[in-house]
Amino acid sequence: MNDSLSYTLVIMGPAYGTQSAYFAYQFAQTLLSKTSHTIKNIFFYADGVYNGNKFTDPASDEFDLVSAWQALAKEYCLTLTICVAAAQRRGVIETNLADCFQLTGLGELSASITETDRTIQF
Amino acid sequence: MKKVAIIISSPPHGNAKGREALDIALATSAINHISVFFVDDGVFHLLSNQSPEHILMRDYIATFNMLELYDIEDVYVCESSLNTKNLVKVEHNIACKVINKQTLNQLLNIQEVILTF
Repeated sequence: MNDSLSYTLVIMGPAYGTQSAYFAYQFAQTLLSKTSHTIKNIFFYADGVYNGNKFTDPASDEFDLVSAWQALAKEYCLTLTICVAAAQRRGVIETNLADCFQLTGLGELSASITETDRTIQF
Repeated sequence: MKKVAIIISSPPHGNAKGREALDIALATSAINHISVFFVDDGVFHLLSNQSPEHILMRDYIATFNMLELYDIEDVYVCESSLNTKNLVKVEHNIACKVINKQTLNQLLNIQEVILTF
């Protein structure tokens, strides 16, 4: 059971208001730091696109999820991709897109699902 | 190519889940095998003559006809969910196969990826 698997993560929860994106972050961090598995793509869809809004400004004693994603992406050379259509409807565009995030299409998700061993939705 | 199930369990119009599920189904169908499952409140997507413009929403349900155009033929609806909503005898606006819970479980078992909306 030592085989390492490649993962696609689909995140549909916002950066604040529900737990799912926070859980996704913890899952990603644990997977990368404690196992031999890899993550090919972290794809943000639906309300998940809010994770890429650089204007997100949590209080100083709260966990800053947007920054955390960026740090994780830098440390492990991850791609953080955001569905452009879902993002535009929610006002996440080039102007306020946080560093390390890329606007992309659902085709990217489709390819990633095909190429990886596991796809997990949060 | 992966076998991907899109489960729609949310009602139309109260949120964007059904619409965004449809977008994923169409976009991923080019290189994956897509099956769509309507369960729980998701079965309300099958009612024809809806007028979402009254609640300032677009009629995206008409776009479900695109499933056929994209060769997504494995579209299923859960019989017990239809029963619960008393919708068994209502005509469906999308071509779909009515299946019981056992078949639903069998079909979900053979999928490689399941996305729920």
